Amino acid sequence: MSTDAEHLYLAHIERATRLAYLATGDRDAAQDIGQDALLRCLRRVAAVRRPEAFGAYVDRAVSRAVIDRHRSESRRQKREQVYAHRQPAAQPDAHLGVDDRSLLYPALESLSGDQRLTVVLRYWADLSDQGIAAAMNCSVGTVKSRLSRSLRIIEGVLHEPVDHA
Amino acid sequence: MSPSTTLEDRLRVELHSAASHASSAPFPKAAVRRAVRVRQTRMAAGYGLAILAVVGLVGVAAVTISDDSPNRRVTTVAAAGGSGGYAPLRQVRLRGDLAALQRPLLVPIPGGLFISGAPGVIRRSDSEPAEPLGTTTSAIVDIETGAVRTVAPSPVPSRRSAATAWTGRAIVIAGGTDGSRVLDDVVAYTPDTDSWKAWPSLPESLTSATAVAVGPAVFVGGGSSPKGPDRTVYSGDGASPWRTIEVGHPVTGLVRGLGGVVAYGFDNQTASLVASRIDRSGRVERLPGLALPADVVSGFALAGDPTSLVFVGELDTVHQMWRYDDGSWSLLRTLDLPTATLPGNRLSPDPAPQPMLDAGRLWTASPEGLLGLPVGRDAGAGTGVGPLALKDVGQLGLGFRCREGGVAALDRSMTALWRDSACESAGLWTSTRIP
Repeated sequence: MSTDAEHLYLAHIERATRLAYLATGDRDAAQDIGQDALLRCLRRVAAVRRPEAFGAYVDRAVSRAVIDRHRSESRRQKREQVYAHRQPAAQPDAHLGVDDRSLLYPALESLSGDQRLTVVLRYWADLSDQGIAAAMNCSVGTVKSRLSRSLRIIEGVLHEPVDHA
Repeated sequence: MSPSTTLEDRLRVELHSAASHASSAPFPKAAVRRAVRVRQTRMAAGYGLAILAVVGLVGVAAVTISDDSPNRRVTTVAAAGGSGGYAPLRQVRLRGDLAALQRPLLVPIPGGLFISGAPGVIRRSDSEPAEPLGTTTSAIVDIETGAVRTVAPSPVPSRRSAATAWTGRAIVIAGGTDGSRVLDDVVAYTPDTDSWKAWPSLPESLTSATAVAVGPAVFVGGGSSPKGPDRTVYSGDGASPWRTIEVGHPVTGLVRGLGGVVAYGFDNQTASLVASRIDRSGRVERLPGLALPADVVSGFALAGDPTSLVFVGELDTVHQMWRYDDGSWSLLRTLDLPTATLPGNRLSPDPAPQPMLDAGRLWTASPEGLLGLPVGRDAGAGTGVGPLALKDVGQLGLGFRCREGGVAALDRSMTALWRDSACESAGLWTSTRIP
């Protein structure tokens, strides 16, 4: 009965989960975000009717869910800071190897949630500026600005100059 | 290899390596099947009937177009109440080419809605294959009878994300994209004669631009072009070549307001919303900037009336409403809206719908539905969401246009909604010329 939907789910769940994981750094949250976003997409008639467009819908749904999570986390931390003055820093994912942690996490953890998602959509998902803008519901100018700032921040973390030529 | 290439390549490698550490949740077979059942139920029942269960009606005239099969749509003329929801009154079946339209243009005209589009999907990212657009089909839905009249074939190639404006006599369709290139041609359709007329081409190719008609003159600006951001607005009347108007600041889009046209954008150098008023003669008057850095505005709506502009922006996690009148901007209030409520991307292949000011509210469409935000200084802190919550209005940029005294919206399920100010005396969304 639901063969098509199951195929769609199985074809996209890995990418959805990986995108959420890279954008959040949280494996458990990534599973929830990827699964929820994919199930939401499956409920949308228009998206399922054109399977060739489904991947972009999933990217967008995951990105929006990640953005919502960042914002709710931000609000929660602001509330808690009022009482606790200080939140513990996010811990690197213990599943990553030493080599991964040595470069990736110090750099990505320095970015804001939106900047990190932008970097992931560009350098992992290989989306164009317009594709990222559509996924994140922002302007192309904002995408370019975030990418530029993100590279500068990463450069600072890595002590590596960026050549914009 | 340059240092920047090295950094970007290393990011790619590291991210692909790190991605392998993610593991998917177990396959939720039951949840997937439930999702499909929901989808099948919605398809069988139709959006109109689903909404009927929710409403209290006393009506707005509306047209809903919902799916009941992959190649057929049901058009429902509906009436709705001021307290929320709407209900179908009449159904008209759209068949053939009309049933296959994807993200068509929607232009309200007196007594009806002009719908024009083509089947096919334009790629939304580099990783998605492009599909050529099919043949353009255009039709007019009569708001009173629900009748659908297919109009004469358009003489120009099929497109998406074109700028549209109703001049009072003709519907002008400018630019857009066919998926592989940005277009500069312009065409006008006159309902009275059921005829198309080619206008001079725009000086520059534009997609996702906005168009505003002031009398017979049409102003086009904003959007994106292959040349990148622009500081130009074009005006034309179809008889002579387009006139180029330099406004001196970035132009994201246009709105009707302050007795003319207002071109607006975000200026990264001054970290502010910038706007200029353009009168019918093309004279430009720069308005004071509003200090709102573009990178903190994730969504916004801007609309105007003859004396003022209203800006609602999502700034980080809060929404602020600002009003421009008497030569300055003032903060009206902070709104308690859900995040990501306002349209945020005017440059994507799916342009955000154009908001409008009418009947003391700023009307805008969003993923949360159709919003009517009170703009009065004494409106309090209420959100003013609704009263008609069409889900996913404009999320795919299907269209939200207005003419004098009316509002129309088209959502992703091809549900269109119409309100006419002739019914204004009895409330915001009131009855209706529907029999």
